[in-house]
Amino acid sequence: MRDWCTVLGVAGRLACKQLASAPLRWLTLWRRCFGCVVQRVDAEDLRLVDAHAFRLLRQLAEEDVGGADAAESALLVEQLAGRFEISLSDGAVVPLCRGGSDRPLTQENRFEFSRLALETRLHEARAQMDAIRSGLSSLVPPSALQLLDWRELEALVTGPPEIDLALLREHTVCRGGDKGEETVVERLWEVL
Amino acid sequence: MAAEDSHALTSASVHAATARQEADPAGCTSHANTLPLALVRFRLSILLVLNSKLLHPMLRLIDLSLAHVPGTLAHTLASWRELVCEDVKYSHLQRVLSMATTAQEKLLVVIDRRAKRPVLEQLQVQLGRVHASRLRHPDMAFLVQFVGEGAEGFNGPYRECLSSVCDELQSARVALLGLCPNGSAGGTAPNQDKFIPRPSADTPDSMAAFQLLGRLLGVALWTSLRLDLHMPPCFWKPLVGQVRALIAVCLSVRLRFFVFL
Repeated sequence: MRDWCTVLGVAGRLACKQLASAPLRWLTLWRRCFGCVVQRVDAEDLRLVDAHAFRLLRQLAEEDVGGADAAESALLVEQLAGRFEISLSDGAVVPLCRGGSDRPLTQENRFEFSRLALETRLHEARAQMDAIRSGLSSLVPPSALQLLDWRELEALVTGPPEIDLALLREHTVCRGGDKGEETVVERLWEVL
Repeated sequence: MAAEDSHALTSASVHAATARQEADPAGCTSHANTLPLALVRFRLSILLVLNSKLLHPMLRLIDLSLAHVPGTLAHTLASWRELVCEDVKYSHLQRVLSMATTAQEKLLVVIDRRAKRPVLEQLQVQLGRVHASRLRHPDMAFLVQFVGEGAEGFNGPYRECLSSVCDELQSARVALLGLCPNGSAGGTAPNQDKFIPRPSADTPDSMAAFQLLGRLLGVALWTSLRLDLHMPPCFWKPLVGQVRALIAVCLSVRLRFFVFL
């Protein structure tokens, strides 16, 4: 077993070294292995469902590098004039910390607000997701899914995102109808 | 060991590729089109060796339930999931499922589509207390009969039932899922047609319904029946364990990577 592990390690190292410079899909591997953008990937998840909130939080968390940025974030804090609470995707407002409803958002604590808000939004449906996961794991052992990419699971559950028309045509059998209807079938494929 | 030999043969190209990568990690796609064909072939052969000679026979020996524990082989393998071919993954999944097939009879679920109660709720009442092992059938998880409607065989009603449940989930009739905020944002915001679980749906009944939704996802995997669900990445990622929220995890991955190699 130990030998096998060593072999796996060697092959894995080679694969990583080789594929790290390869196009597109291997970029994810490179990033993941070296942990370059792990936190950004999560924040990206928020952008994918709530781009407005993502933009707002990112703007709020920007460092005061130039005068323009500082003025912008100060303006944002003023506009928000809020407390340490955030509105979830279905409109429910929750405090970000204990006593958050009484704690005002200021220029000084905006970084903390942004961090807490991002964390809250990313895990807003944790209980619901846990229930879904427990239902799924009662039928399929979670360990069997650990190697799948999320896109692969999505494709397994909902089907491939696009229908391959050539493949469909190849496996289509037309039955019945008169001889003259071949043009109709041809037209159907043309329309599709 | 064949992999080591191959490494020795083309070590020059490996070093060249690594040097380029180290010099420009972010722009590693820029020279994709200028790669020598031999190098691409070499990469492919490594991938094939990794998959066919190592991963395919070894997967059954690895306890993948430890994938969330840093330092384990399962964890390392899970972090390299992009390197594993789909065939290897799917055959592993099929093998695991085939070992858990039940010999018990299929349940008969009676659905009244004329009733005011949503199909999801009726399904929940009848399946909620049944042990999940009774649904582990490779063709149909359960049999469906519609009250007052005639149908030939059970396949049609079964598909129709699951299709109705998906429609209900993504409508206002069942308040479990909601259109994600991007849906009302318009413009170029992504995933405008995707649904996410509503955080406010946290009553015991709602939780039981979410659990049933999880079971239905499992049923889809078991029976290869496609569900018409539209969910964003943040829905699928936790289900396959692709969640990394902390910098600590990121550092751990980096350290483990070097220690392991």
